[in-house]
Amino acid sequence: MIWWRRQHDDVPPHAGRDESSNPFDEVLSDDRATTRPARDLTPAIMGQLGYMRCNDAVVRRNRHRRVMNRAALLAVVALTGSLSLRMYLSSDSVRQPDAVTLPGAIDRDLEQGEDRMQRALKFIRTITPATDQGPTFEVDDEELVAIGPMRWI
Amino acid sequence: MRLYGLIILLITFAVTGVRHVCASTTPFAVAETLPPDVTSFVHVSHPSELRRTSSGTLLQQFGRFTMFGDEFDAVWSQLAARAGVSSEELFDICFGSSFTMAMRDTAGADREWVVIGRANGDRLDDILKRLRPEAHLPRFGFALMHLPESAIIVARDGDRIVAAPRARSNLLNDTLRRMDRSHDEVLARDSVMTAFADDREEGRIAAWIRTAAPNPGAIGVVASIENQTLTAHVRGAFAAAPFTRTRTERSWDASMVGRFEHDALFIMMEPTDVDGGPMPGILRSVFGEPWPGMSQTGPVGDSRMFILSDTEGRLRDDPVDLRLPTLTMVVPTTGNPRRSEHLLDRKMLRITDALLEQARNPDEKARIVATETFHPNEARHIDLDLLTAPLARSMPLFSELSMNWQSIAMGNGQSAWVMATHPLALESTCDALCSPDRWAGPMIGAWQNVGTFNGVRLSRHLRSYADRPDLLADGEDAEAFREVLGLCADLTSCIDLGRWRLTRPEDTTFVMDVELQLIKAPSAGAASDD
Repeated sequence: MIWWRRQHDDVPPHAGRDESSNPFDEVLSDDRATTRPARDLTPAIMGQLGYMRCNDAVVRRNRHRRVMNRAALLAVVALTGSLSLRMYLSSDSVRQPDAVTLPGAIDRDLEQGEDRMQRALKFIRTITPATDQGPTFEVDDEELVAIGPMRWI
Repeated sequence: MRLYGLIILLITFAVTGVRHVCASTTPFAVAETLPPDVTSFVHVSHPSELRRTSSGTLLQQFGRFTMFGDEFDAVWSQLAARAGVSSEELFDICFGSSFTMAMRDTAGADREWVVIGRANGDRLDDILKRLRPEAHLPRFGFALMHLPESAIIVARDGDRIVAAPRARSNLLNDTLRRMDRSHDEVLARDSVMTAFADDREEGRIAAWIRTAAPNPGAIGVVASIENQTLTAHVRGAFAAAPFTRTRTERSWDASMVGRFEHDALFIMMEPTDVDGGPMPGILRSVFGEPWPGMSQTGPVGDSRMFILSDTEGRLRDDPVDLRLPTLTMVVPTTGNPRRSEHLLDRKMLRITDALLEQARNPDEKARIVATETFHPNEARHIDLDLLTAPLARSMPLFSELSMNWQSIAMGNGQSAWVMATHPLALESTCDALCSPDRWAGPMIGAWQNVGTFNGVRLSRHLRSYADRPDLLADGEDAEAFREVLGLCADLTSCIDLGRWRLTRPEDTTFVMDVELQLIKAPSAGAASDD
């Protein structure tokens, strides 16, 4: 507890003690007799409250330290979170698509079927003797493959 | 009044019910639920019954070649194992009553597909319990489930299920939106489908495919199966003429085809007012002269017929393990039979002369005989050893090639030119033409093209060449040769006899009727095909 002492508040000890005075006055007056000048804590307290000027280098250092601490905390949280998520996703409790799914298998089989048909049509075209009769519409050479057999009918 | 009202109500319900039944059996009824930008779809009624028949064998082979191959088999088996049933059972439970698959190809986007089926409700519940799908919010009155392992979304309403890839579900949404709701923009408005509806075509299988540029259009098929016979009605409509040849303007009798359908591998008959397409050019380039019957000149009648048959290479003096093809051409003729016989002799001798001109030793080509030495109604035969001997060793199928022809009188005042690459082919063709037992009733129509094929024999013939791809190709082409012939051999092996009739109502449309008599599938006491 800090006692502020006002200079004009000096009161001699044991002065004016009578029965109408406060019973605590005796205690207070005894304490007043033994008080010593208080240590001046003004710079420390006012500094903590932000009312004291501080060195710029110290300010920068403190700010830097705070930022680094927050970044490190964030990195740790992110790393922990991603590791946890990865472990969870690879666990048995999460259902993953099979290596080959139904849509993937159908897509590949359809593609293979189309390739087979194209190879067949291309082969039929290559063994067909060339003629000077073409289709009834303008086509590119590649597209002729698709309508090959109909040219014979 | 109350009685009249009740009668009207009953009639209304009856009509509505009948219309509903009719609509549900229309083969393209499912197109009422598909968006108009679908590019192809196939629908099968009661596929589980079909799967056990010989028709199912043919369709399965075709399906395996075009879309459902080994990868699908493996994944389907895996799904079935997870569901605790066999692959066949899983299919029967999910699609026992009906199966429809629709696809949509959009430029710049992945292909979308959707499968619609009518399932066995109780058993489907059991399967879903084992598969443990994840529930999603319902959509358009359908419960939505996700199977993470298979990456598919399944929408269910009672016994109706609709499935699609999880990652490409736009087509699923477009389909669900049209289920049980009338919608103006549906695939059923397509002209090919409405033509089927106008003809009241009914069938168990329906398929439809949109053709892309350069000749956009569509082809639809409705097929029915009864007693080992698959009958298909095919229609096509395009922006431009799909065929290079002209359209016939006449009606003619195609019954001659029926005389050979049990003997030959493949027969095609067409009217002579159709220009020859690429064939006259090819024949001219090979033989150096116009081939008789390929144009409507002289005594040529209203039709011509090509017959492909074969002989057994292993029965030759120099046996080869191949079936050697023979080609015969029959051209009904009009007018004086003697005159047409002389005309044919002159034409064939000119062609033979032109062929033998190509022989390496021109001095050896003097096989041409004067026409006066030919006797009437007698078969003519000229060997082509000079041409074929150098080729026969490396290409045995040319080893039996010779020029054979005869002008015959078939009876009933009809005569015909018969030209063949083998003397036995000429003889058997002439016998069949002259035999009254083989005469069937007339088959008159504006046919663009009519034909038959013997599937089993054709399969054997093609298989003998599929096993020897080196005969006609090498390298990559040999592999393509093997694949194509192998596929054709597999597909035709299920067919006893096939027939088709093609007409062209307009330049940009065609209609084809196909009939396939199938080989009865070997049964292990399972359901019969009847």
